[in-house]
Amino acid sequence: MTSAGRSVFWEGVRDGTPFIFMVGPFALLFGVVATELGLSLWETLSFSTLVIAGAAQFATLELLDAGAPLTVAVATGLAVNLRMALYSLSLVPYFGRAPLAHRAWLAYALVDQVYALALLRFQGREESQADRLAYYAGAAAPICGIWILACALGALAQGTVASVPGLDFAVPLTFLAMVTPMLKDRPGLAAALVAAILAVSARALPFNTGMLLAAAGGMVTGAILEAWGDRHE
Amino acid sequence: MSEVSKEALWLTIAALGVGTYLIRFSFLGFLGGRTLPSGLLRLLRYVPVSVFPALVAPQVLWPPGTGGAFDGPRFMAALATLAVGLWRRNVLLALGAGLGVLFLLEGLRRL
Repeated sequence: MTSAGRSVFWEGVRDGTPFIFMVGPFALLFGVVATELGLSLWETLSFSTLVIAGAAQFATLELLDAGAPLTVAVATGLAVNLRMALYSLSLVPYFGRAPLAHRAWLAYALVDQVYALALLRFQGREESQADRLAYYAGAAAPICGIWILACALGALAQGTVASVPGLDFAVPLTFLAMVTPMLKDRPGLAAALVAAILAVSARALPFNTGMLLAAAGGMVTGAILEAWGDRHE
Repeated sequence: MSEVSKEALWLTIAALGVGTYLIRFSFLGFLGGRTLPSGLLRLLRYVPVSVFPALVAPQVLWPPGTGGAFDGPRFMAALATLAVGLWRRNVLLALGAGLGVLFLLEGLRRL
């Protein structure tokens, strides 16, 4: 890595580090819950390292514990993660031409917070691909690192972790905080509003389809309004 | 989890791990350097501003942490995050405001 690339890497680390305090407690909780349900430290750690997706891990574990068929547990977890296909698609303009080996590790680290930080940085900023890769790696290091580390700590500390009231809500607040700076124009605001309203109305649909339909509705709204605005300029 | 065998657990972890990786790798991996049509690029610009609100909105009204019951402190914390985020355009300020309101109201509730 060049010295310029190194400094961009550290910018990513700087931006990603505060999320230790939001992702960490969620990961600790997963470790605690998993061991309470009978998983060993090794199993908990493997789960978090191989899947590295909080909401899906909780959903799958709960279903397994409730005695659901294995296929249902896995399908539900995958449905919760299906939004990441959209993340993957929306990174193509930035990383599509990167070597396959790079795209392979980018995909592994493609968690919500890393994705949001990357888009906050890349949208509207001209930057070399090397710098973008460095920034992404820097942002992913603390976020993915704390997820795995805190899951292990939770598994070890099982039973001794004091629960802070309200802390369960830190992750939704993180998502909200990350999306607000992106709501810069009318199409973006409308997309967010439509997606939120649709998600609330369609929340009862099975397998997370309500959330996916809502996201699609928001995207179409934003794109149509943008096209309409372009035509009237 | 007593009734779940170790084999079933590992099978679940492996299937979910491989499946999730393939979802993440999908377009980035298989589409590669192909130039996307402009209409699709336009749609993609709205992925983050659509996915995150769709993910969060139901949780704001029915937080999983309270078993799905509406909760005043959590709702106010979400409003504070949104307001400060739109006003200052800064992720950490918005989050600080939201967590501040959340812990303050949670603390008051416990007095």
